[in-house]
Amino acid sequence: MTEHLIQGERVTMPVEIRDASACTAVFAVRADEVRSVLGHAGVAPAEPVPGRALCSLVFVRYLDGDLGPYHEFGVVFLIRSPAGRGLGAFVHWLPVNQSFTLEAGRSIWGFPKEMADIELGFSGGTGRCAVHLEGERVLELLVWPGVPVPARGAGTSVDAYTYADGALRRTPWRLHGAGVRARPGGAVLRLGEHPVAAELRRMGLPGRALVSSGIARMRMSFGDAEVLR
Amino acid sequence: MTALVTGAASGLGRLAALRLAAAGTPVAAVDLDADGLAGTVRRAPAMRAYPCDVTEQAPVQATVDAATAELGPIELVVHAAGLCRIGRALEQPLDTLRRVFEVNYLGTVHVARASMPGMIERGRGTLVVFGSLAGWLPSPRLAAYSSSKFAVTAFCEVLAQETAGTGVRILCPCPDHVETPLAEQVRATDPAVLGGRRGADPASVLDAVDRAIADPRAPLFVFPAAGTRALWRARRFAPRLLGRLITRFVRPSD
Repeated sequence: MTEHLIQGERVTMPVEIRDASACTAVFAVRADEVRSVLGHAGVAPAEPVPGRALCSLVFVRYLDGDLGPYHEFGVVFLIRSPAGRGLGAFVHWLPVNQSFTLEAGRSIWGFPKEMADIELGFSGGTGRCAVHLEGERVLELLVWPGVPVPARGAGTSVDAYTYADGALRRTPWRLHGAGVRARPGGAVLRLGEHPVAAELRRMGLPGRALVSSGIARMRMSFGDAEVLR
Repeated sequence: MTALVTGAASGLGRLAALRLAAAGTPVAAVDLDADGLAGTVRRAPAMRAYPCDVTEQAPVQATVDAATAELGPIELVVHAAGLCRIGRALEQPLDTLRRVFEVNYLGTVHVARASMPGMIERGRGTLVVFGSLAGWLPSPRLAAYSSSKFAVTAFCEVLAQETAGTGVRILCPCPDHVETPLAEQVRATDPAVLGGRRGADPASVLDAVDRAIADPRAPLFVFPAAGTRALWRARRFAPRLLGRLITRFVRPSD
């Protein structure tokens, strides 16, 4: 069992999240723009329809977990696995609002975390999130309640890929959700003027979401990252 | 904005403290259980632990003073510290009854007296005191708990009357039983006291409290679920019928 020292505290692997809530919205975006954004990492987006890639916007409220309580926003692309066949989730941008998780995320997994002001709420089944960086509005995302989806007992495993300091890493990520609701569409995205918003706009956002979902109670676990190259 | 949360070592208090800390709000986490409190504030840079017994005025005042000095003026107080002990009205040991009153009723008085004057002086703030449906609706074996929550209900209403117009709001959420360690403990002693029913999800209770905090027109007493509101109405408009139903369906084992 490996350990990492973060802000003077020992974090043992795998990192466990026992209680979190999240909303996601999946958008079809321009694959050529995604390819140029991901070029530096040497990975390519999956294109379920030629010319279109999938971009997930996600916001999470972590309550009980090994990285403490915090808010997080994520921009994630579905990619072709760089290590063989299959698919993976490339974490492109992952702002958080607390220092402990910032340091842990960067140093343990190379997650592209940075400090931001992240307001979010999950009232009455509707999730809303606003991200500000250095006082500037980056984006706002609203996710409407969907219809209940039966939870899969065993949960899901995903390979999360990150690229930091010249290294491509793969992190085994397990998640299990309860109180899952989903629907087609169901998301409203508003983009600000920040460079990150401009990048998303070049990909064709905002637009109509393919599908959006909310997870009331989520458990997750993150293993140690493996450097691929 | 700085928040102070009592009962932060477990249950609703812990969840409320974690939600506030996740949002980056500086939180003074208060509880008698120092070990449990250490678990709540672990790896939460925005949170600080203040072990404190709410049954005495002086330590509560000292905690509010220390938290104000270290984290800033307190604008939101969530008073979730509470204790439930079940027993027959004529037989429950007096020490137990006294303890329940000291935590639930006097604890509320102490927290209000320590935190309200500063908020009134600044002309803004919110005091959230967890009452209970048991503070409106008595049921068998809950004499001590229910009476103490009746006292909390009355105290909150008087406090709201006396501080109207000061800019400080008082909210008293009154949930039916919630699936927290408090309910688990009651169930472990005698599940029939809770009528054999499953309680509310703590997250949904706190969602209702969040909505009330966000709504300036929310009433003093917040009933977080439709079923709870229905029981409260039945208590007001059909008290004899509801009383008969309770004595029929709530059958403690001893």
